Amino acid sequence: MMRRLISLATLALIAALAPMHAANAEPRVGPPLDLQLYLYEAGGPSGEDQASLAVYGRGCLPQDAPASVMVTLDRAPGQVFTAEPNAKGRWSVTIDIETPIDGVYLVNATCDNYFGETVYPQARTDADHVLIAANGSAGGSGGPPSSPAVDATSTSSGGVANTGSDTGSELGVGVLALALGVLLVFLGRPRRAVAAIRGHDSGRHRR
Amino acid sequence: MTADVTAADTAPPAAPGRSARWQRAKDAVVVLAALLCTLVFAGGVDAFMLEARLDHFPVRLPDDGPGTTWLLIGSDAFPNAHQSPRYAGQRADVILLVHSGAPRASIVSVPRDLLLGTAQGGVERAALALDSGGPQELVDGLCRTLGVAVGHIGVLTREGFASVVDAAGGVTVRIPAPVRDPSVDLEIEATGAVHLDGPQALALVRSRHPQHLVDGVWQRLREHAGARERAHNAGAVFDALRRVAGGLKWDPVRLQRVLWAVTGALSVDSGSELTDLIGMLHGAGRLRVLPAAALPSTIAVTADARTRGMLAAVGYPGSCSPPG
Repeated sequence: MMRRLISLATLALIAALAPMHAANAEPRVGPPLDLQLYLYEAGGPSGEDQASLAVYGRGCLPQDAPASVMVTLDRAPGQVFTAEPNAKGRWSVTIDIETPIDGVYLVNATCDNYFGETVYPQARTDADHVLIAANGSAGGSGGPPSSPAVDATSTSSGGVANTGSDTGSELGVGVLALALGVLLVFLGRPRRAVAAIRGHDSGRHRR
Repeated sequence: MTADVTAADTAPPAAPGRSARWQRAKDAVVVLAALLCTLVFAGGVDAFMLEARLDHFPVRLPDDGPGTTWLLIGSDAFPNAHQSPRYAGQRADVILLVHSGAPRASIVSVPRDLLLGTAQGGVERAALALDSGGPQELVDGLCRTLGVAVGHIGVLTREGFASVVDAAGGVTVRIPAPVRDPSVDLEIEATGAVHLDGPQALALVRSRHPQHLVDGVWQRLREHAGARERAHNAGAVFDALRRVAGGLKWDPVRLQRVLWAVTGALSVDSGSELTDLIGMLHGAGRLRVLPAAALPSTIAVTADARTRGMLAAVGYPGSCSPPG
């Protein structure tokens, strides 16, 4: 009776855990994006301020075909900004934005590896995080940086790039299933054979 | 003479003959009725079996307005799990919008590299939308980005596509110059109206880096031109296939063979039936390739004013709300 109960419980547990594999078919999730708003003050009565939003990402590594990144900004509907990651999978995009800088800016990005995609978590920034530069202080031109050096500006820890699906949960399920299987085999072993062996052993001892 | 005949007919000895003719007529009617019943029964059983062969999947579709719009997807899914994990899943190799009825019939081939908007506010290539969210993601993306409301969906695998073309006896497609693409085993030396079998037609619609023989030199198309030619070839092969299907009305054996192949290879949305499919195959309409703007640093292309202009020209209203 106990063995039957354990068998049923094992089967129910495996059946309950099986859909976890199907759930991994969703697109990979990339590491968080880094955003930086820049405001370049004109410094004169006739000049106009300029502003830009720099988006930095990592973990977009090419496979068979070159990888590319598509970035969208909620303030620029219908526009797509693209970037080509470097050999380490790092990339950046600079988007010119209108002044004055106000409210929240939402950024979405996708790394396209031709055979699949990595979707970055939506990132946001706002007017409280503006880096203000006086006229001529950023590269001397007074305008936003056209192409910031990705490696130099990235403040991330530079962890390992996300190169595959998360198999941790599947490994756990596999180990658990194996352990339960071993337990089941152990509990379900033929008792009579054991008894016979014991009897044989005891008989030998008696001799 | 007439009087004689009339007299003979009304004479008593003629009664058994008339009775015999009447009996023969009755027998003929019974045989015909039995034949008709058998045919109707066989047709019913056949339709039932064909319907049962169709795979159905659940998907929420927007209201497609006047006429009927089919979204046909040629998937690159492998029949068995591929050894390399990067080939896992399925991408859309071919994306066709087939509209019949009001306001006018049309076939629009959508570039697989066209960027579609996602629910989160990002973008993804149409080819990858099938992988990330299945047919639902593609339906929603077309609705959100192009304002195209799809009423029916059919998904065909690459092996299924080849089998359907073979069942139809092949297709005839116009090939302007000899073309080859070693990556998909494509090699067509003939030009003009060329008859292709299933594997050849499949290679033609899958070819992304075709080379054309021009003045004795093989010239490879650039990335975006290759992708555009691929979209055109996909539409041309489908158009040819539909023309073949339309001509099979009086060839029941081959029609049955084609329907058998189609129903075994195609998965459709849960609201679509065999009759919807036949209606789509018997429609007509000019083939167009949807134009799109190239973007720097990527193979992806984006919808622009030309894209929307063409869709409006073929009758798509340009407004669509993704189903909740």
